[in-house]
Amino acid sequence: MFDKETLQKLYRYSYSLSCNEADAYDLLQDAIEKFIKTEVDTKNSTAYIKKVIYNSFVDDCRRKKIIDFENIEENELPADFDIQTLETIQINENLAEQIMLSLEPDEREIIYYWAIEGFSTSEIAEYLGKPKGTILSKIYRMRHRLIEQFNDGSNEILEVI
Amino acid sequence: MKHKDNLKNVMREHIEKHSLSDVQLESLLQIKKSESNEKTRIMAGSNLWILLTAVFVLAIGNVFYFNFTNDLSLDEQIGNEVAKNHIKLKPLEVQTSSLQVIRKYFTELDFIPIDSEILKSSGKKLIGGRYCSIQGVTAAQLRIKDDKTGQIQSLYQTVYDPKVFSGLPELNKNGKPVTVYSKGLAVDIWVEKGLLFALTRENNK
Repeated sequence: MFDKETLQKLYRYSYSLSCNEADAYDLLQDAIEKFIKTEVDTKNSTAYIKKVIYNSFVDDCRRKKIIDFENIEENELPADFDIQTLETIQINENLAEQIMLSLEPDEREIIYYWAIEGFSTSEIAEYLGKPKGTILSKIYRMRHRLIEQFNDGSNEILEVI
Repeated sequence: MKHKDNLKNVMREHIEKHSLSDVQLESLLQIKKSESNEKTRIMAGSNLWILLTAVFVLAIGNVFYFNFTNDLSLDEQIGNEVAKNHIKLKPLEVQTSSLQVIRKYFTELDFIPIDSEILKSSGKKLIGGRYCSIQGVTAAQLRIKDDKTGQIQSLYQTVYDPKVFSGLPELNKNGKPVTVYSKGLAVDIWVEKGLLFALTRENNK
């Protein structure tokens, strides 16, 4: 059903959402148990597990009121904006964890599909079943916030090239 | 100070740094294995008659199972649920030996976790907690450890709702905990200061 490599990938997806190793394992374990109890087309088992992980994570956050999941406005987006513009950001490597923690779960999910799975904006939108404009808006906001938060003007920590 | 790299590479390296340990991987593969065994057992009946017999036996089994489940008393249902959750030993959301820290963490409960009279003099140490539920009611699952024996126990606390949990022994009315045996564990259940408690322990029966 799942080999070790797939389990590691699913765990990293889970970690990308939760930013916490214990929670990531917990989410994955619960999702696999749910998968076993449900009759699902095995061709889509990885996608199904990811959906279960995401839904459980959102439910947990709402229950514990950790994060408000808000809808994104799409009207602030420049026409030529794409996920590749994120690659113009150069950051100091030891800032990675701080950056992850500063992002919203939905943004971390996008980062996961972009950095780990190598998806384009269109592919992320299609995979998540969301309009491309919504994904682009999230990326646009994320980029703005990262630059605002981590660029101290000296270009030593974060630089836009 | 480390050097700079583009955001994509830095995030990829950071996420890939996190991986399941061998123990965690093995544990997840075990879940898979039991499922595969079950599927193999079901698929082995390629002969129509064997399949029909299996379906018949399953149907009869289900009838007995559901009748049996429905006949379980409330303390047995709680005991089963608590034992099942304890065996999983899911990761703690907060690790602490302080009840004050526990109280600060569990802000979404309709009650304040307390130290039970039954455990006060036991010398057992609180090691942390996580959110959970008993019979659909949100609860705190606290974990305690006996330093002498190394035994880990789960202590569930939830608000005592007589409509949901009627008929359980109340300590302040001179009641004594009722013990249920489930999945190889003993589970003591009682009501104290308006809270329902369920405590797992090794079965010494």
